[in-house]
Amino acid sequence: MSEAFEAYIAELKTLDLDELQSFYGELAMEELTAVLQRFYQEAGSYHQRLVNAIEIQNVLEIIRVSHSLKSMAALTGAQQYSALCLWIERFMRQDELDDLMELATYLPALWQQLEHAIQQNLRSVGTPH
Amino acid sequence: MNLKVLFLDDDSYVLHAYQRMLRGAPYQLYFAQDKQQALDILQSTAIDLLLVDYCMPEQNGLEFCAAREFWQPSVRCYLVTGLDNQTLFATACDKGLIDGTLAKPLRKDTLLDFLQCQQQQLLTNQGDAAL
Repeated sequence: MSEAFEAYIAELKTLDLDELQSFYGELAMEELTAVLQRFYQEAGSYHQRLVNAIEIQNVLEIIRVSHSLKSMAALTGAQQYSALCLWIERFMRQDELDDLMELATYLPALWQQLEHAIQQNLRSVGTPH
Repeated sequence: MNLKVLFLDDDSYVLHAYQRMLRGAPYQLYFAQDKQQALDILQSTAIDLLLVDYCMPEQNGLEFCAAREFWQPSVRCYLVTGLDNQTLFATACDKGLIDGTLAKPLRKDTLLDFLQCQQQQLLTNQGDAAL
């Protein structure tokens, strides 16, 4: 299962700003920064909720939060993280807890990579006041 | 007359995205993050179009639309969803709970095209009613 997931995300980007622009239309640099900052704040708290829900195996919360994160991440061009949430949601809906627990091991690393990519982008364009 | 559109989604990030995508577009936009906010707007404003998220914590989008008989009957309801459950949504359309679905996440150009069609339809209906 891990191999299948890794193969699935191999061609996907951590953060694809072209993808983000294709959802929002052309954004000025300061708008792009505002979108990334908002995503970072909101998705960060959802990410923590997902980690907590997996820890206590709260099925409904896992489905709900992974579903929301999947869309939020897709809308932002966070392709790998969105794919992970898609898989987590799918396994949870199919009640495949073992696969879910295996997938959950990818959460910290993929979130960290995304966090790093966002911060790098914010640094390169400068943060608006 | 500008189309009045209400977006209902429990994720504020998604609502802000719609708001940003539609900045400057010739529509009157309303945003609700929960069922009560949406009902208040539906009862106080002549909304033409409701775009409602399917997966929400209090009740899902279809359950919300099940009460559409209590709003203005002319409100057109579309479910915005990332789920692939065509049978469920087709049945909901057949029962008159919703008028259709839109795939989530929505892109700006898709949203603008859709709203333009809806605006056109509204004008056509108003023209027909005036005859």
